[in-house]
Amino acid sequence: MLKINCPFCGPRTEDEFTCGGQSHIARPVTPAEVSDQQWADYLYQRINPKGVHYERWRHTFGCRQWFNVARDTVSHEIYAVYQMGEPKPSITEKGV
Amino acid sequence: MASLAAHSALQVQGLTRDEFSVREITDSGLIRLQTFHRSVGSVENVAEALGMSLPGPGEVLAGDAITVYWSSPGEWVIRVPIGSEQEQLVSLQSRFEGLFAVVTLMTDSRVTLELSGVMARDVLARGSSVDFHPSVFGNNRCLSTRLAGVPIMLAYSAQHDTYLLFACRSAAHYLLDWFLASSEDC
Amino acid sequence: MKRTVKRHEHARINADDPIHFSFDGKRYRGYEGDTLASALLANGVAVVGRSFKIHRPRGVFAAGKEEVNAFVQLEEGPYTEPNARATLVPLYADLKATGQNAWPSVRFDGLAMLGLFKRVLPASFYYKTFKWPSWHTWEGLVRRIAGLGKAPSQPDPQTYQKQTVHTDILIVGAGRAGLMAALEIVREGHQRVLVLDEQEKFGGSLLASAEQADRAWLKRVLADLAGRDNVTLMSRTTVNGYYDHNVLAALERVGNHLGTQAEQSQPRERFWRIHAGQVILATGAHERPLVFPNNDRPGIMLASAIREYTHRYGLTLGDNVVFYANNDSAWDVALELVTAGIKVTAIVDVRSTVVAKLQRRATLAGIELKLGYAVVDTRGRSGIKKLLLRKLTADRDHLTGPKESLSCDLLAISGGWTPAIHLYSQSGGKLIFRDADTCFVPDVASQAVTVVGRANGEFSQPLNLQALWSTPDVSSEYQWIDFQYDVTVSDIQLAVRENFISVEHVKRYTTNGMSIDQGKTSNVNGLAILAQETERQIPEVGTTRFRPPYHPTTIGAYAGRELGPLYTPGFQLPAHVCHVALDAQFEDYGGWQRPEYYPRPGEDEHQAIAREVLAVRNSVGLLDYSPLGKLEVHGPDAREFLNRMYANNMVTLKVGGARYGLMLNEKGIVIDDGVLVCLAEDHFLMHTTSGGAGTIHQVLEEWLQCEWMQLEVLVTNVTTQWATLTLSGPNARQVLEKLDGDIDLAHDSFSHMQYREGTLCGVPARLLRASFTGEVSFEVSVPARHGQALWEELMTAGKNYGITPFGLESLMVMRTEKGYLHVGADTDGNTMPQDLGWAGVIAKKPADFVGRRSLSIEVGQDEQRLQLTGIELLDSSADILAGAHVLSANGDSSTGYVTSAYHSPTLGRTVALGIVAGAHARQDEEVTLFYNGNRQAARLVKPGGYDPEGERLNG
Repeated sequence: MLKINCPFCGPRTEDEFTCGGQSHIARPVTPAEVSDQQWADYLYQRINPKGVHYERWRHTFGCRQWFNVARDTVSHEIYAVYQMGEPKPSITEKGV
Repeated sequence: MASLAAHSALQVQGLTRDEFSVREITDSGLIRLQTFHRSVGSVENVAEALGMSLPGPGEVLAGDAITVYWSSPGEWVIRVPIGSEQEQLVSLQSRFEGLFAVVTLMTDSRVTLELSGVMARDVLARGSSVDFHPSVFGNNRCLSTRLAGVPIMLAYSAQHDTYLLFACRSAAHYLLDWFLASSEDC
Repeated sequence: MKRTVKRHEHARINADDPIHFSFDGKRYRGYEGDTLASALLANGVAVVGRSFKIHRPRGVFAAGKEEVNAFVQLEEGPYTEPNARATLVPLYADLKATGQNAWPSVRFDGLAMLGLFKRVLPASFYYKTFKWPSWHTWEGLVRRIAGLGKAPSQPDPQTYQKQTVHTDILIVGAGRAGLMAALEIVREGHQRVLVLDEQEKFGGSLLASAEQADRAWLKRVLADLAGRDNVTLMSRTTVNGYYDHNVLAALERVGNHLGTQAEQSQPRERFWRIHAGQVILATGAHERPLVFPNNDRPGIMLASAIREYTHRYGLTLGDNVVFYANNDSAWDVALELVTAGIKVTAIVDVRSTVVAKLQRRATLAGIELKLGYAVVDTRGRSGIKKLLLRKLTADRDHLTGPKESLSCDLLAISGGWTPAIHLYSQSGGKLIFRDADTCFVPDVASQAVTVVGRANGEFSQPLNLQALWSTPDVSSEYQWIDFQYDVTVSDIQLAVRENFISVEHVKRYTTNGMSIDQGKTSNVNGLAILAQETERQIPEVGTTRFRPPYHPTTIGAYAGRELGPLYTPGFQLPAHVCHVALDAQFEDYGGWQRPEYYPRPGEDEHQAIAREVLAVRNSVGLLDYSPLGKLEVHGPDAREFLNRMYANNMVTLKVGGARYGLMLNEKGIVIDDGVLVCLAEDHFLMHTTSGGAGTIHQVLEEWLQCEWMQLEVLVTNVTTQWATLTLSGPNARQVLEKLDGDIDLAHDSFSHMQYREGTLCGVPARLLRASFTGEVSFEVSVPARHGQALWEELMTAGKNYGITPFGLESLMVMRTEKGYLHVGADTDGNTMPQDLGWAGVIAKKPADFVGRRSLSIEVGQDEQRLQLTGIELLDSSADILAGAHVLSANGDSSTGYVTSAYHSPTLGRTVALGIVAGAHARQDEEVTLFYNGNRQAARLVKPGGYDPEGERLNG
């Protein structure tokens, strides 16, 4: 049971949230101009790191806001929570 | 032909136990206020037009005959006496003229319940995993969460140690049934 | 087993409060403070159970949750609980228990003869035997014989609760270490402290101490802690699981100790979800048995258990007690028993040298010492009578010397101690093996947890342990490791011979550690023997993974009160009361309780639906459509945003206009449809599928918050703010006109697919002329508080027109008669708009929209895609069900399926829709339908069939 620190509501349990998968994936500005492969990458290609994963979460049953989380896929430790639209923070061994 | 009776179709049967009670509050009108908070200065402009500060995350602020609850960034729930809800709606719409702010009546979609009793926090803890201890969720604080699967907004008042709960009116009967079952030992 | 005539004076039982109970039909007496096990032992009951596989007679082995034999069926009827451990059941008045896995009784079990077949029933015998001629031949017999207790067959009459608790400090275990930690914490002045203990009373192993100092300390500390406001002490609460982010689960036994007399208003058990800032685990350690031939007889018990029964429950379990040990802790128990006046005849120890001080004290106490010996056999089927021993060689690898014998009526065994590190492990903490004490202890934690006391391998006295994992040079067949599942050393050896050498494989192959005690006494012995058999070191073998729950948990506790009608939130319509009054047949649609149809007395479902459909087509009907999704979209960029969200062109939608739109996801799949209304340049009203408003609201917000953050748009979900009633039929207008209102409803003023706002009977009203039935329809929305009143008004106004309430089933018939698709029924997870005939509409739209790019990929252009079509049965009197397949030409495979099918009272035949490969180019083609083995001839046709020109619609 993860505890996630919503940037607006504070720490809440995982079941109030929805995970939106890998973050920082920009939609192609002109979809008509990308190849089928590029489009497929945008839709389906996702990394699967052992370690820090930068992902989107939505506080579905709270403030309904999307935000970003840097989570360790092995230990579930959450290194950082940052706003949607902000760049990813760098996570060293000691944290952010 | 007469006007439609303002029939509160789902008048809620409250619940009274030794250590826990639920009663419906029927004198509140609720208005949702939204602004595009990503625009610089939008929130300040709205506050100025409203004539009072707008509460920040988790806060409740009382104004002149209105109480404002923070709901999400750029979104608040305004509680007014039910008799003046139409008047307030119109007044707000005119105050926000020229601003990108939206006010929508939401009275009909909500049921407002007051929870009281020494076991109120325990009962809430049976349907939600939020920390309701007054040191964490204290006077004039509000939050949105789920209670027994039903999305709710909750506000705490230390004056009489009571909670105000707003939920979808269509789920009112389910919530009351749940309160009944979850407070048998109270 | 010796009967205890009189309890020792300092026993923690209330001798003034005798309790009567029964076991296997016989009545006995115990005392308040007893467990069922201690009471049975007091009464000299030696055999309390039969082993799982070969029905060996078994007696009480331990004093707590390490118990491996004393499983009873507690109570009967709806209160029955199988596999209750007698050592954990507090005695209560009129408790009723029976032995399990035996017939007619545990004392005389007909299936005991299975013991003769042990050699052919080794680990995993069921993979190799009972297969010919077919395993079904044996299934019935095996099912009857297998298992232990009997599952209840009646609903549980008691309730359970679930609750969350937040605490700054959680201390698990209120024994000495846990209580000392608590004292230190309160001195530091922390906010909220929660101390949990699984036993009936606090104190852990202090409760088994004979020392007056221990008792006084316990009393004083408990009083201190109980007096503090910020400290909560809970007994009877077992912490069961340790999860991420310091969230733990615990089960509180609120009423179990009261048996069937517990108060109904209290839950039987309460499941706690604990959020802890910091956790301190003081969970103690479990004593291990030694493994030797016939080590499972009644009367062979853990040394620490005997200590507890003697001091805590005041029992004298034997007159002629022998100890068999490999460490010093057992010697302390032996000496304590002697002090308590119990005769300890001998200590057999595998170690050839033992601390001089202990030897001296034992000899002084009159105990014979047999150092450097191993037990090679025991005798006494329903209670140990004697043991046979031989000397060990110096390296303990072999036996030497002649067989000697010792008589005894109670054998206390101690093979060492296993720290209870289950919760610590579940938290992600790493373990390290301590050779000296042959146990795994906590190493590096990965959450905010500290382990103290014996759980951390902190033993108050050095154990000086020397391991003898099993008796060498004798058969391994009858050396028990896992008593409950009858796993012996020979089973481990078999697993290794069959090349199962990973500890996880050996566990599953032999079932060692998989029983109710989950290996508390068998895990380490098992893996140590595996290490020996495979010539590896113990740390190399490792432990199996620890998973919650640590202790069996009643399933009802996980459910709490969310059962039956409370299982999931249900929503009622604003006019619910009216539908009830009309005897509506309700069904759950996406959480909403909605009328399927309104049967009149004597009508069945088909008759009711047929009547409703014809009433709507011929005159007028009324449907509560309130769950219809209604989202308001505001802002200077609203139009642009909606144009990106819908597949069709919305930039051209004029103020006051309404347009049916299709919404896709980025993969081009249809996710929703509905009518979009333009209320003003920067204000739109979006309708979504009933029950889909929440989902679409989330979709819109995701785009606005994550991708298009600069678009100035605000979305408000007003679905439940408005009650929406649909008036439908050729007389719909006439009925609506009877209500006071300021909206011009005339045919020429208000046509199909238009929207009007105004007042109706003095209240704000929104009217949309959209139709799902194919008749003239008005979707009338008023603030939900007026929903019931509006229903009543319309029913009154429509009386002369025979206005008929109709439900969703009737609506589905009518929309299928018109060939209107229902997203989710006629579309699946692959349906793209071109499959629905929208290729032309999309071609006309210049702008990009969500999902557009996905339509032009190869698979989206395949002509053989499943496309929406009507399906007509050649036999007009036949029917078909949704889900029927459309067969390929050679009848070999499925090329699509029927998605909607209803009997049409209007057309007098079945109407059906489906999605079929390449259907658009195959109109009028004959096909074969296949359903459940039956075939039917059909033809692909245009969807619908009723009023194809839409004349009724535009009336």
